[in-house]
Amino acid sequence: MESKKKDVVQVKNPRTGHYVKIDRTLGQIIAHKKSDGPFKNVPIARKRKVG
Amino acid sequence: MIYDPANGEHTSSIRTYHPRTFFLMTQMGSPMPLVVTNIRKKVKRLLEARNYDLLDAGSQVTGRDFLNKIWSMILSVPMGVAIVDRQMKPAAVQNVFYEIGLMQAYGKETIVIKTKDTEVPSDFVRTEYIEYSEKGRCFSREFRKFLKNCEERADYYALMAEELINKPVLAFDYFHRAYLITGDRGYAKRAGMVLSGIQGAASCSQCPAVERSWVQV
Repeated sequence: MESKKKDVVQVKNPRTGHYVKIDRTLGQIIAHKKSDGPFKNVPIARKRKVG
Repeated sequence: MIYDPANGEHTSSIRTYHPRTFFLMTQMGSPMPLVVTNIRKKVKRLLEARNYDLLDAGSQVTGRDFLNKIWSMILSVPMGVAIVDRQMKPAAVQNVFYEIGLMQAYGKETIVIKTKDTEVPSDFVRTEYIEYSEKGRCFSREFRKFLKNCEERADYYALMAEELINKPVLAFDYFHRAYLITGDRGYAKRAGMVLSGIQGAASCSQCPAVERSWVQV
């Protein structure tokens, strides 16, 4: 059975120092990491230029 | 949705925002403990060095309801700094913690500066604080660290806004927070795009009207 791949990324919250996992398709925060370091196998989103 | 604390009604009045501004929460009337005056002066200097402004309850005279004035000022700024000392009047300390609670509920960045042996309510034990000592040298360093962290938070909010673009209400709010901390009009412009549904963003017709005054369309 073919499963649809989710568009999920993670970003480090500077207030907590922990990573937050985001489902871009849903536009939703789906998890907060409790321990140090990033989630495994989830790409880290990088800052883009605004303006 | 923003509710007016005085009447409990939803409010959509246009407000003037104050980007790159801290709201100061401490005792306003006399007798002011000397240490509080010294901390205020030091905080003001540190903020000015980084191009931040400082507002307090005495900065504006509206002639209207005092709580509404405080609440409106809190909504208009991105960050708050509270100063507490055990010599302050108990009622003043209670006001300070009420205001910190309001700021946290509205997603503002807050920091508590307290002198040694000053107790904070148990609900605030997880709130960051910096201890001030007249002799200690680490206060300025710690406060600058907090400012730097606020700038990192602005970058984080902007990034979150982009990643959450499919949920326009959230994206709009994150851009708002990034804009208020940095004063960068680019975020206001991007929020304007979220409102109008251009550049891949869904239209944000449900965004509260109260927040629209700052956007650049």
